[in-house]
Amino acid sequence: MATRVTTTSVAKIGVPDEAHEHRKPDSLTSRALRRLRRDKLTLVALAVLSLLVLFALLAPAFETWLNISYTDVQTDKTFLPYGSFPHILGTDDLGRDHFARLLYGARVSLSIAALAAGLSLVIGVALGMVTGYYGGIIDDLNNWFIATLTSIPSLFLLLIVSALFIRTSTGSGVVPLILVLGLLGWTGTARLVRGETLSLRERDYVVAARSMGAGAARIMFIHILPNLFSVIIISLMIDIGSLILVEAALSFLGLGVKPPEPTWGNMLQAAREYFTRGVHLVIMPGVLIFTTVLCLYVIGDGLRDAFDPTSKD
Amino acid sequence: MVKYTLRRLLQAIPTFFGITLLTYMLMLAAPGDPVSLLTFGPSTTQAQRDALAAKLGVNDPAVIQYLRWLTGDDWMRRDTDGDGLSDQCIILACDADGDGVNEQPGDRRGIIRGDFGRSFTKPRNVVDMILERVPATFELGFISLAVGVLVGVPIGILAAVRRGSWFDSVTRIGAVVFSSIPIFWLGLILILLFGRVLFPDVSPNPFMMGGQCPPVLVGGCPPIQGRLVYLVLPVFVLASQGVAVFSRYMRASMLDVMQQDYMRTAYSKGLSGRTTWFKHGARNALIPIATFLGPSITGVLGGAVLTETIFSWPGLGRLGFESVVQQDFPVVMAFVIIGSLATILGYLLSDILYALIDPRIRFN
Amino acid sequence: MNRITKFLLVGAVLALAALLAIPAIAQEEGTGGVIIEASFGGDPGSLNPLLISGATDRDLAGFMFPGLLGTDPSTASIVQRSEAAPEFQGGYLVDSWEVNEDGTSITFTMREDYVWSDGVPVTTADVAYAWEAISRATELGLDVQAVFITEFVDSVEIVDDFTFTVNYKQANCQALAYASSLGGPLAPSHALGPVESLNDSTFNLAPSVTGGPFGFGELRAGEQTSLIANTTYPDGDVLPAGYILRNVPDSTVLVEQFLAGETSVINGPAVSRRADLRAYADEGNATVYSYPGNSWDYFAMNFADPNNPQNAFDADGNRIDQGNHPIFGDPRVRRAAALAVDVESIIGAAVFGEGDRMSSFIIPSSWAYANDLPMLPFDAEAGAALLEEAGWVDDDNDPSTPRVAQGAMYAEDGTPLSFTLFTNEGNARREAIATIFQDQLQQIGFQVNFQTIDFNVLLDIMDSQTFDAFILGWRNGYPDDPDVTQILTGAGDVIASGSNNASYYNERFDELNRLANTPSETDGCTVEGRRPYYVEMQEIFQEDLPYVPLFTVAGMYAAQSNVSGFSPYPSQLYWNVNTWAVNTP
Repeated sequence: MATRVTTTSVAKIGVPDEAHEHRKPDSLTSRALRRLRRDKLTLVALAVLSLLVLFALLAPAFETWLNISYTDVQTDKTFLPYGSFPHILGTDDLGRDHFARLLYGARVSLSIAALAAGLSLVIGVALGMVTGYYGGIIDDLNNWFIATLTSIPSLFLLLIVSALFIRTSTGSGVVPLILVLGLLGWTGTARLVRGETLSLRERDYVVAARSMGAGAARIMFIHILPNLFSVIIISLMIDIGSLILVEAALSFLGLGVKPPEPTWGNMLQAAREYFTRGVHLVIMPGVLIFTTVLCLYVIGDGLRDAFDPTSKD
Repeated sequence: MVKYTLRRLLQAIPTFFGITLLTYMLMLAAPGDPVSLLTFGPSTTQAQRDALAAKLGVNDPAVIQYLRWLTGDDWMRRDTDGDGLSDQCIILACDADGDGVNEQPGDRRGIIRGDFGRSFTKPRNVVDMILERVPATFELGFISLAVGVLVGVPIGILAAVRRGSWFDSVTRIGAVVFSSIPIFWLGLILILLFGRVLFPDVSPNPFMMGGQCPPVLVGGCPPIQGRLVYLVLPVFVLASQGVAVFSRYMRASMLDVMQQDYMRTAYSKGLSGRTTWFKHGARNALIPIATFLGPSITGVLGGAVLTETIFSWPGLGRLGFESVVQQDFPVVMAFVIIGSLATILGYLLSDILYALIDPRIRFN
Repeated sequence: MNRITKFLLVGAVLALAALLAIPAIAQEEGTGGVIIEASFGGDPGSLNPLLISGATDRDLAGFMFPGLLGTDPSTASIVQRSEAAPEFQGGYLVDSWEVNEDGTSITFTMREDYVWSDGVPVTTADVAYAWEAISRATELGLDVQAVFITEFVDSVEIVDDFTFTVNYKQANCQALAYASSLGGPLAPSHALGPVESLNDSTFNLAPSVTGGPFGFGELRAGEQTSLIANTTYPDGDVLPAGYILRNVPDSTVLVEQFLAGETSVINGPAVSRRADLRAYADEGNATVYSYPGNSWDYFAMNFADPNNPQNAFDADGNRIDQGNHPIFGDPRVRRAAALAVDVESIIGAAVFGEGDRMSSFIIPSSWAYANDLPMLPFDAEAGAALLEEAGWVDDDNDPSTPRVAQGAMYAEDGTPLSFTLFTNEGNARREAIATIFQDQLQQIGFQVNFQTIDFNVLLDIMDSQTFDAFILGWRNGYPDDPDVTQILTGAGDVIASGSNNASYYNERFDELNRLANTPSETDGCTVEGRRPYYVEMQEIFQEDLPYVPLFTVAGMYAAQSNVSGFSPYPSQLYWNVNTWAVNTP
């Protein structure tokens, strides 16, 4: 069911691989890497994303270099438009530099999404492996819990949880948001890993290892986990992308990260009232969210194709 | 078939139970005290706060609070002699505060009997507040879902049939692009574009204003064909995600079907390409789409929160969001439970639909 | 003069007379078009006057039901109908009242000519019903809002059909306001059914019997509420055919709707858009009316030790030692904070100049306002010097780190000058204020840890008195009521229930407040008699600075130029709504 964007056609145009005919048997991973190197779209997405991350990491350097600050309030310089040097992207309603705030917003938005995705990945992989491997009552309980969680529309669940736990917490709400998103987002990964584990545990080498007396933990870590690598990396990319969207939506509704800590979502929320005074405040955060998520989705798709054993080189 | 449906219904019961348990546990675990919120203001006395706390039952053990919320308390405290005070009590004490006078009989019927209690912010029953918002969300959600299917499926089929063409590329790029756009931002940009840039002088300008119907003194909302213009932007925003998802999955499903042996057979029998693809291919490729109904309902409901808030649509999502902000817990709980029920029903329907159209599934 | 000239002359005179006469002919009832307004207040929760809560409910019920006591909109004070100017005599019931000798009971006389829309006369039976609902609300679990008056009102006696007496627990200058809450506005008791089932009455969201200029039309949840002109309105013809209140959850859209001409009136538009509205009015499209608002924001600092919160008084009325806040316990630090903040710049950035500075706790438009009291100056250098004097020094000569205590009054040496500042979440204005506060206080060596938090939780923190500082707001009552017993005196300094959360206590201030609220033997509760007490209280307030007072947010009404009859007073947009007309161009 997985499709990816445009890459098949790109690959078709590429020069036929001479080595293809008499290729040495090699590992799935190196084959995937080779495919990725030819996948221009994924590479472009990767480059754009890296650039974004680099900019975010260098935010303090930009502040010194341009002599701007993401917190400095200037009540006499509000709503400056694009290109008002040194405020290259203008200023917001309190005269704070928009460019600097976007960079710091990127730091917050990206780290929330990445850390939450990481957390749900750990939970999802652990639960998926254990339930897939053992089955039985643990599996039933887990399935019931997953069915319960997925039967609540995810945004509804996030709304109520963030209203109860993020709005009510002191601090900017970044840590609770990571926890909430991480703790609620693992069901997809768990299901995927469970399915993979179910099929892997019947493979000959696993059965052989088991018959030689290998313990469950050993089998899971040595024999099953490495085979889940592609599944994990793909769902990580897709998850980070959708978590950026979710974080932005929550912050846009005023239920995510609290001001003055900037994220792209809460910057959009603040800008909403200033439609007519500073359109630039509405445009840029949205463009950045869109670009980042697009890159992550394209990379995820590209990885999926690269790792797909049934697709041809 | 009936047996299968019944079995699926039975399976939904523990899920529903889990949902109520989960949401109630969340509610209890939350910091903040509804009593202080309700009694904010310089003129409230401690006695009034205590009375309110007793009325809401916030000091009872958690299990009892949950049980009361789920099943009501009219069976816990009953009045058999008609003096207006309870005299037959189980679980709860008849004289809970120990003042020598029995409490009034319970009047809550619990959520399983459709009683979600009274709102914290408005002197109303929660069920009434929820039910009056359902039609608007149904209207927006149903139309968006229909647009999503009716546009997304043909696009997906065409893209698969013309694999590698420019149409295919545009379809696939479009699918990823539309899944990546934050829909609330898309909504804002569309309002900006339609309301201020394209039609700044149109009055009334429903693109700018949102809402479901024009203002009228009497006579209610006009029938749907009289206010299609109000639907354009919210449906576009909500359906864009659906189109992206459905075209993507339909294309994949169609490609899958096209590689099947029976397609090759049909083709080799000399049937024309078009007949083969649409009569044999598309029909079979549609089967997996049926399983998509459940998740789609979740997506539409979630999207409705954002879309309705941006476009002033008088639906459930907006009510839910506003209640969350006002910490109107009874409404929020009802909102989550009703949303989950809709999702469970969606999953149920798509399973049954799938079983109905896929001959490989046997009902036992 | 020939016949033709004569004819023309007569014709011209007649035409002129006709021209003059046309505007003089009163517009007929119900031909005044439909007034359309939009607000983001949400759906009405109830239209039953006894259950209304929130601005939307109050506004709509105010259209449909008569008030018990009337207010003179030009003075914002409660007025006897028999003494009111003729234009202010419509829509309310009490003609006159008599206060007894010691001020503990007031006998009200109602007019006898007022009828509900079904022809039933308005009598004291309606007042009795309201009092029953209010006094039994707690017992019956009714959602009645005016229940707080049971703290002050002892009983309501019905003398005859049009006379009733309210007995108070003690004499108080708020007595009239409490009585007015009995019927603010009044509900038709004969249409409500038994008090016990008031919560579930079908009347609540579809009132069948009304008595104001409008009756109920229809309610579409999340969309609009419409009201229809009351043809039997006792106080004059109702010109508008109806009124529609649209439910629009977005302040930007509200303004756009008005600018597009789709609403007739806008009430309190977003401060960021008021310049646009003025420009629209300057083009001749609308009339704008601005007035000083009555809600104001403040920065409160805790006096007492936040680690050991105590009430102001024990059960016997003796002062309890509440300790001192390590930073704000010192009055010099509070003054330094007040000096460091440029309130004018905050008004400019946070409300786009749409605010009036406060000098203390009384809004500038109140009768109790001390006109001669100067504003606190903005002088960051003096603030820094005060901190220095108070023993808070910049030990490392690095302005980006906070000062530390070195011989400070209540803080151990080495304590950083750092505190947590709360405000409620989701209020853009207060977030902006707090952000600027944080920035400006940092300039003189404070370190401000600014956090927004859900209102519910902030209330818990405030009630437990464990905070350092917060930014919130109060609203001065309407009719104008500057009472601060619960928010600034020892009586309100009660953990978990009082509203003097910052534990401000000044004996003289408490005494003045008591005097200001007690009817004097010579002239009762006159403005002239009470004002001097409030003036002195404002001076003390500015000396002690329990709050840094900020500003009131200005109010604004605007009506399209085709709306006639629009002549509002502060906080009173619709006092003459029955004479309005929305003319079709």
